[in-house]
Parts: sequence; structure tokens; C-alpha cells
Amino acid sequence: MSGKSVPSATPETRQYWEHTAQNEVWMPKCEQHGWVFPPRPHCPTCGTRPLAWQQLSGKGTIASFIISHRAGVGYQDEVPYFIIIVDTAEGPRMVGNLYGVPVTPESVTIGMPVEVFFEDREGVHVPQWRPVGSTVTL
Amino acid sequence: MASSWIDGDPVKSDDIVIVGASESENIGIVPDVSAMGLAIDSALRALDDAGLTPQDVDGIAGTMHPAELALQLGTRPRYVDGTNVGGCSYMLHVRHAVAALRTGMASTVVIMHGESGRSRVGVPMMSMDMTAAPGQFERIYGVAGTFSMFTLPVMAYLNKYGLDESALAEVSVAQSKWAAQQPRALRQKIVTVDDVLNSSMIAWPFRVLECCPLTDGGGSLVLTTAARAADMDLKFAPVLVAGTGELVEGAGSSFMEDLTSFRAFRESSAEAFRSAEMTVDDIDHLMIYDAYAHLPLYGLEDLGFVGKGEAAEFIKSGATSPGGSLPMNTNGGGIMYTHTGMYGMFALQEAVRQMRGTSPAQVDGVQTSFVQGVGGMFAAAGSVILRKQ
Repeated sequence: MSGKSVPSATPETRQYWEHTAQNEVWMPKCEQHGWVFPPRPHCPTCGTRPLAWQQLSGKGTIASFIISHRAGVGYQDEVPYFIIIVDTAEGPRMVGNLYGVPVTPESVTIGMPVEVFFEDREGVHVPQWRPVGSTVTL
Repeated sequence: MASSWIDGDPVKSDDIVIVGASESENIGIVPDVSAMGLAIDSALRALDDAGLTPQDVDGIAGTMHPAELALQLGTRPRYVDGTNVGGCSYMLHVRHAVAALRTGMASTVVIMHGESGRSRVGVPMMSMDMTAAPGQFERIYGVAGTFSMFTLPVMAYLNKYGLDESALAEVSVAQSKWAAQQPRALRQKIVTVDDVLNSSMIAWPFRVLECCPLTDGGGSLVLTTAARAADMDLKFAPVLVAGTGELVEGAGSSFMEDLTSFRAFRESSAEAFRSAEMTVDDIDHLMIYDAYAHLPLYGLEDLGFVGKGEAAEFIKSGATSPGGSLPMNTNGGGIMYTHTGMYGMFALQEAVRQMRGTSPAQVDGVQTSFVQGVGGMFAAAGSVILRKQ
């Protein structure tokens, strides 16, 4: 038990976490204006509600990253570790950690392809990222 | 993408002045004064600049609880602004005070800041909202502090322009040359690129000398109309609030529209220039809120002082250092001078000192100053242009 933060869903975001429990990433999508993330029950452009949810491919590329040398909650045993921003193949940006490569700046390039996998935190599945082809798990 | 808000009439402010400005007696490490005590100490000193007492104050602004601020200062204000969008809130308070003074909602407004960021004296328990969007979708990933989230977009920026880690180090090097002239700065040593790159790693590519320290301190401003100021017994010539701007982009550094340029910097500064009827060519002195070393890079470009991708070379050339064409962060910035948590007030204080001619790192002949604040982690921005009268 790492003691990492367990996401606190609200009624408006519960579907996101229900889908990750099935090891899938889903987000609300406005027919006119596209994906809505962080999840909200309405389109921030036109106000349409409710929105239908759709599944993302779980593929993406690294848009930015840092290597944290100070431990966040529950990360004491992982220092140093990557925090990354992923441009998903569909467009929305997600934050996560990167696993499956040595934790050095040289291991990562901007634009590097990654795919999602899921970390179980007390039954809540948190999206995480690894290079395409890696089989690393947590 | 939504269109810019910049249309319609700007909020003009050619008749509102700063008549009082002071930091608390001590800043840096101040374990014997509470956060509120630091705010009130600075407010009384700022009021003293204008020969005023708390009884003369009918408007207050601050990020602390407004009713508690009113009680502690000893006033019953008819104008209150508790806007809190992070460290640039004080720039927004200036902008809102201009509107209040121009419309007669208040005659004398005091903007107060006090924070015991280091010693944690009189500070309520920190509560992080883990249900908010940054809580659910960013902080769960081992975000240990602002240093591992505010910094996160930087590699997108450096990669886009083919820059390396030294671009960040040069920011600290330039600012250390100013800090060396500031007796109240927490970090007063002139540093080299090697010193910075060899300092301890916080969140690669950020070293400790590229991150703000955590300090204690207070600062306050007193604003009134030029007409009222003319009848006051002032210690310093009033400083004109020539223009202001603000924009809120929304919480969360991963949610910003463009990881390599901050829309709120672009639009708040554009509005400030527009309301002051000035351009970058009219600015003699610049303060850009630097909680971390990437912010002056984004700021110089987003405000229009240099082209996209040119800020690092501009800073490295010495243009923002002592003797350069655009003196920037002349108190040493948040990284070198002080950073209580919400640094914006200290950027404003240094700008007022430069306009008054009282900064320990005084630049000769400066007539105008542009102060750019950022709030939250790329969440909000506020801009203030000051002019010497």
C-alpha cells in the first residue's frame, strides 16, 4: 500500500472513474465542439447539456514532462519520477506518470508515443502511461 | 477558441494614484509576526506615507478574509474586494480599486498582503481541494508542490524553440545581479550558470536556484484620486496608475490553451497597454512575476517585448540585467528577493520604488513600469502600468 492519493470523484466526474475501473478512458464529447476535459456535464463552448461520453483510444504522445526529485503523497519510494502531460491521439491533454523507461531526461523526447495503463489505488483505477510496446505494470 | 475579450471601452485610469506603498518592517524569515500582523504592519506604514490613519480608509482589498482585515486594521469599509486568484490578486485589486475610486464607491483604498509562508505563524490549516479538477486529474500524480506542476509545461516551450536548461539558468543569473544590490533580498549572491545548474535538483529541469524560496512578509498600497492626493501631505510624489488588465484562464497548468504561451499574460497585458494608451516602446522598467524561472521567458514574449522564442537570448544578452535596455525584476524577483506564497504585492512594491526613485537598485531615468502578475499555476494574470508624475 503506497498511500498515493485516491481521486475524489464528484457526481459530475463519476462516469470518468467508472470507465477507468473497466480499464478504459472515456470523456464527454460535444457533437459541435469536441472533447470536454476535465469532465463537465456541459460543453464549455456552447453550453449544451447533457453530453454523451465516448471512449478514447488510450494512445498519445508526450507534450511535456518534469522529473520530480521531491516526493508527492505516496511517491516516497519512486523518487525521482516523471510527471508528464500527454496529448491524447484524440486531442485532450492528460497528466500522468511515465513508467517503463529509466528516469532520466534522455529517456524522453517531446512527441514520444505512449499508451495508457491503469494503476489500482484502493479499487480506483488511475490512468498511467508507458512507451508503446512496453508491458510495464504497477 | 473563444475570441478575445479586448473590445469596447478600456477602463481608463488617468486620475488614480498610489500615495502609499510599503513592505512590512521585516521580510524573509519573520517568526515573531503573524500573517495578519505582517499585513497590518505594512498597511500602517503605507498609510503613513500619505499622513493617513485607518479612520481615513473606506475601501480595503486583500486575499485574507475581508471582514477580519477590516477589524484588524480598524476600519468599516464601504468598498471591499476579496478577489483571490493566486499571487497576482493584488494586480487585480489595483484594477478594481481604480474602478471603485473613479465611480465614487470609495475614496481611499488600502490593498493589503501578509503571509507567513515560511514560519507559518497565524496561518490556517492548508486544505487542498482534491475534488476540484486539478485535485482529481493533476495532483494525484505525485505533485509535491507548485514546483512539480507550475513547471510542467516548460519542456514543451524549450523543445519548441530548441532551447536547453541553460535558458532557465540565465534568468536566475540575470536577476541575481539585481538582488546583489538589494539588502532585503533573501538571496543576495551573484550566481553563474554553473552555480545554478549545480544547485540541487527540485524538478528537472528546475534547480533550487530557479525556484522561489518560501518566505514571510507583508506589503500594502494606498490608492486615491489625483484630486484628493493634491490635498495630502505626501512623503513621496504620487505614482499614477496608468493602465490595468486582467484575465482568468482557469485552474490547472495542463489545462492551459497553449503550453508554450500563456493566454492570460497576452490578454491582461494587451488590455493594460490599451487602457494606458502605451506600447512596449513606452515601458522603461519591467516586473514579471517569477515564482519559477520559466515565467519571465513566457512573460517577455507574451507581453510583446520580444518575439516568440527570443526571450532566452534576450536575457542572456544582458538586456534585462543592470545596465541593460529593459531592466527587469530589479528586486531580484521572487526567486531572489522574497516569495511569501503570493508574491505579486512585492513586484508592485519594487515598481513603486522605481517610480519614486527609492529602490536600492534604482535605475536612472525610469518614467514608466509594467508589472505583470500570474496567479495559481497558469490560472490567472493581472497587469498594472505605473507612471511617474
